[in-house]
Amino acid sequence: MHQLWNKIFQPTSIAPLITFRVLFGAMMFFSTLRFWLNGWIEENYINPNFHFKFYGFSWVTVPSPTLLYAIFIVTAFAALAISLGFLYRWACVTFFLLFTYIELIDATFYLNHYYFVSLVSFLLIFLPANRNRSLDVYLGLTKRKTHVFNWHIWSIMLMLSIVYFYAGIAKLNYHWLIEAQPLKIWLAAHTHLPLIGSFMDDNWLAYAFSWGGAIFDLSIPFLLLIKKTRRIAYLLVIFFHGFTSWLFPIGIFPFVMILSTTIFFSIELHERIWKIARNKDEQQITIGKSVRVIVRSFLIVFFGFQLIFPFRHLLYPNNLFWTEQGYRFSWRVMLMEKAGYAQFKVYPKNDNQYIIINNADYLTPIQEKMMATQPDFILQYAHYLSSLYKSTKNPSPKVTAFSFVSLNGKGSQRYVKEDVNLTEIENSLKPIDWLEKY
Amino acid sequence: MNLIHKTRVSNFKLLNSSLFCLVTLNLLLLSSCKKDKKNDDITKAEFNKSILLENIANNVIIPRYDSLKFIVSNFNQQIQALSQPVSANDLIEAQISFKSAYQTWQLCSSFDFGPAESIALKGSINTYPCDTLVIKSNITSGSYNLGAASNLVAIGFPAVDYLLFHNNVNLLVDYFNDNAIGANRLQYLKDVVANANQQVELVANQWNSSYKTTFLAANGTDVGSSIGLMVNALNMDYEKYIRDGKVGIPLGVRSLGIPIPGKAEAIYSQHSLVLLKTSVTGLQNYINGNGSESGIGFDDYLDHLEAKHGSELLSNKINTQFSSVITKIDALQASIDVEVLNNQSKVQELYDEMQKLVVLLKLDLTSALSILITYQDNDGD
Repeated sequence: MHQLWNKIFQPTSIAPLITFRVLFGAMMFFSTLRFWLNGWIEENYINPNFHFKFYGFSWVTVPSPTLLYAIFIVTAFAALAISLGFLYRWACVTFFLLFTYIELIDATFYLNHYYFVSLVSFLLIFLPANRNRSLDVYLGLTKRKTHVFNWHIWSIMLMLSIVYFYAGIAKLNYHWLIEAQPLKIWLAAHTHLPLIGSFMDDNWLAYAFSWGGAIFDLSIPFLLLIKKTRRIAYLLVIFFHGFTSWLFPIGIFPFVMILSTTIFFSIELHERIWKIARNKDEQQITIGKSVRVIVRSFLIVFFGFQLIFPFRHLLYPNNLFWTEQGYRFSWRVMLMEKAGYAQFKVYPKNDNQYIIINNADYLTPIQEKMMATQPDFILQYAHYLSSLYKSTKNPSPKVTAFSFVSLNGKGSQRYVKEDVNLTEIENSLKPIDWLEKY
Repeated sequence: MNLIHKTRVSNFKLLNSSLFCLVTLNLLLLSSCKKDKKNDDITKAEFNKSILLENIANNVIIPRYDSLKFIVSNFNQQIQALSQPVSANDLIEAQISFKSAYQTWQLCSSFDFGPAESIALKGSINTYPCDTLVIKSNITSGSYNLGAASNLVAIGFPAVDYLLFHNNVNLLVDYFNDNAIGANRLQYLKDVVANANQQVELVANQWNSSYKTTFLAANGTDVGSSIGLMVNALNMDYEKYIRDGKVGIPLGVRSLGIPIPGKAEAIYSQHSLVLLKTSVTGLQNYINGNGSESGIGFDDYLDHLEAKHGSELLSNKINTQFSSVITKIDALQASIDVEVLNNQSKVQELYDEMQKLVVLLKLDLTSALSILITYQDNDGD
């Protein structure tokens, strides 16, 4: 371990970092454009009257449409600037802040890979990825370098490894391994596909994919690290992500992973691509002790958090899939088939007379769908409904839910306890006691 | 498909019995095909989604549109043949035809995708309650564009329902023969019916030609697939139009439990109960793939996937719940607008049973088939 700690300050080629910078920036540029062209700025952020929030981030509000579009333009250009290595640090800071801000506006659209993008763009702020093959060097804004420290490359590798490995750990559960759920349901919907269609509703295939997926996730970081297995590992990465992208609507995530994992390629390959020859003089570079302490502390805090935070669900006594406390920000990717239905009664006057809410009046279809399976959303929405119907006579009208959830093909079960007045329940991190038992 | 009774009737009692005939006929038509599960087991190897699509298109959707087209077209001819002075018999015959046309429409309202969606058939055929002020002003002015969005509340079956029905048939005859406005009124009726006829014909013809190919070819389960479209549309229809529109809103679920009978369907002809039952049984048969003969439907698909609700087969659970809903409909006697006032608790019981069915259709069925219940395109992970 001590040796490893010293190794992180050994110089290595900058080339892998250049590849990563160029690809990551370009992907983010195109993904921001794609988001715009799909009309999602309007659909996801401007059209809804109500936005779901992450715990602790209810202060994040949606800006005016003009400002929002401006933010997307700046985000796209920041991504492009990262790719080109132009005003790199500023571009990274800008991209990280704006991208994260957009994600915080509405938790409905939370995706693990957006979280990954936020984390990586945060890391990039501290990595000197603009020290070669960049506009910054070309324009003389910074000095060209052929070397960076190992930790500059390793932190990206570690981040990617955490995503895979933790996604693998998350798959080690009864539903996934023993029941082959949710894949049994998801694959069976694809019997119309050419060639493989006829196997898609076979049980053995669901088991093969479940176990195969878990083994892939757990082993791929190591297979990519080891020189001997790297080639086959990368082919597996392409196959795995290509295949899931073909079967499921998972957007750009597969491409992010396929392109990001190129950082595991050999230094020589990256150097050949960028025609970077290492300058021997730079090997002598030393670094001050205080800087080492700062970097080490940063790495310990950042990656310590990454390693521990996904396990926070262990603090809760409830079924993780049912209550979803500790579900987000934990690399639980495509892990369960959960569908819900929730209808709310608001009692504006007294506890007998109610109005049944038509969710479509307040939520977009995707918001309604997400709300019905996530307890913190149900609570936020119930509080919102209560606030809509409050009066001086009744400042916090009672709200109850008729709510059912089906998890991994088990059939619908009642979700929120029938008589619970949701208005009286505070959104908190405490274990949820207002749901029926799974 | 002899739904049009040509018998001469001259009073409402007779009309009622004729209505009863219609209902029985329809129920016969619809329930003759209750399927015997045991003879109908699909082995795993036999089932595929293309067979399901073919059966639903050929055995359910197209025959229903064809019969709607036939009935509405006959009704249209009957209306276009009217001239002043209009007689009570003319109107009573028109009323009978109208009722069977309105009833047949209920069998097609769940198909709001493809051709029907592209011309917004559902909105132009059955937006209720109609706005009598708009209708009256259209009649008075004599100039109107029935295709305008502002006229959605003044066209379709609800408008005809208003124009053709009144407690006192003689008064109705007078309206149509009125010196000042009678001609306009008759013309408006003709225009509204012709408009509906044209729209229905358009959709039915498309199903019989190009759209059928499109429908059969989209045999996946993604958002744009035929199964995805059907399941989304039937859920939308059941939740929003059948549960809320026909029962919930008149019952007062949006109005603190205070009934709003005026928002019920067919308040002038007072046959909302028949329409409700037809739409529910029609939906059940559609889901089970049953038309003039029983066939492969979503129930078979669910069984093939071994979809369960607890320990029970989901398909059984869904059909049992349909029966519970129908039992509660049968417990009502008068039309919905009357029952919400006189029998509110019974309508509430009906609503509660209907609500349980929403969960089974929107949640269990959709999730078991792995269909995205969303009209919005978005990434997942």
